[in-house]
Amino acid sequence: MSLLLRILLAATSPPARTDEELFAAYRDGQAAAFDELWRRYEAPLRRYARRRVGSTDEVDELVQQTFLHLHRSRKDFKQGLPLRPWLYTICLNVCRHHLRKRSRRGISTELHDANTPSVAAHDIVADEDARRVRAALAELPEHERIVIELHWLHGLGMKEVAEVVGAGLSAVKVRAHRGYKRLRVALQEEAA
Amino acid sequence: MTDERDPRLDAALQALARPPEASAEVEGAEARLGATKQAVASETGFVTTVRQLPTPARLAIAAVAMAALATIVLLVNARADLGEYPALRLAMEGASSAALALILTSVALRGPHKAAASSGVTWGLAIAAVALPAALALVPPENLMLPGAKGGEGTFVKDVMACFLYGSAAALPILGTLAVLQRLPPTRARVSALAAAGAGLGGVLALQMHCPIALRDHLLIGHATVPLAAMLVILLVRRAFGGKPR
Repeated sequence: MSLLLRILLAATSPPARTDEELFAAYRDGQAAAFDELWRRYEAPLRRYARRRVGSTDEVDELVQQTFLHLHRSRKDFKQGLPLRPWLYTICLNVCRHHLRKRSRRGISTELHDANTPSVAAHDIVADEDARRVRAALAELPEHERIVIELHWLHGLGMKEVAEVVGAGLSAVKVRAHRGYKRLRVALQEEAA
Repeated sequence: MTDERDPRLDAALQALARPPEASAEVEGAEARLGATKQAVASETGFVTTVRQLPTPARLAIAAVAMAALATIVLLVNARADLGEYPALRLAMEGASSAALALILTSVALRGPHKAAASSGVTWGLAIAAVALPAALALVPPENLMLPGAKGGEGTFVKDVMACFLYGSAAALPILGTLAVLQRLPPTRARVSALAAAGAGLGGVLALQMHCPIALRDHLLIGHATVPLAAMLVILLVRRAFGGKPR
């Protein structure tokens, strides 16, 4: 019965609006569209920010800043462009700005990157391989790590990753290839 | 790209990509949404409104600020040989400084929704900001007999210092305008340096409208060093107060 009800509801409910439609609606004054975008992206952006800054304490503020800058930049958004790379680019820049502020307070970014896994504590999985890969990921050069994180851990397509990092598609593919190769070597070395 | 796939590595990456327990993320989600909406609602006031303008409009404001600076100098403190200096040459010199300043400004005013410019682009622009006024100084003067073209008798150092300070002071309001227009301060030191160089070129533009001295050494030391000094000062300030440049 409940299955039938769900099927009926799905059939009668309007199709979900795309991110871009929602953002266009928000720009046109529909405040509820912002809520919907927030619900879609808050969790993935929290995970991304946590990976970038390596700490859970500051993630709430970073995600809030990301959405605040989305609001501030709304008049720059052009119809026909995908919204997701926009959000991740803002989040990446907000995290970079935050890390710079943190280094001003005397907390070394290099030390953090080298010694702290760049993934969240609650992402810890029993799998030993995942632990090794997480450690190896923290050792990757930043430009390779960002590509690996966005593509493999956050599911962005290579074209979207290229937009986020502001590089050409082929350059991003090269970074992904090199990063993947380093991770594979690290995994094999650890196992040996 | 990943022609040699490793199933073990793929599995490990998939494990890392797995989202945490839903409850951990949902907890407090509505409160966080409320806080975010409150932050958005508090986005009022003059500076905030200016920062929310589309990037072309913010760039236009920067251009107007530079044009206003040049106009004020021309009206209040114009070069002594203004009536006799070749108008086309003055226009070309001013336009090239202003155009490069606007290119630098456009990079500095990029919103956080755009990836930072590549290091090749930023280095190229930083070099151009120093090279352009230096190149203009090396263009032979048309007429050293114009009023003030040779500077004062035995006052070379004084004239150089006066022009350097004049240009640097003229750059400050441009730098202030850029600070108001920026949505998020540059995350990279070299982008901050580009903003400073853009403002420094605004100072060079003011000097071009103000100083009649056409001696090569004066122009090289007193004028062309303004963007370079602006960049160095910003980099030192960032290093002192903003941590290690990244």
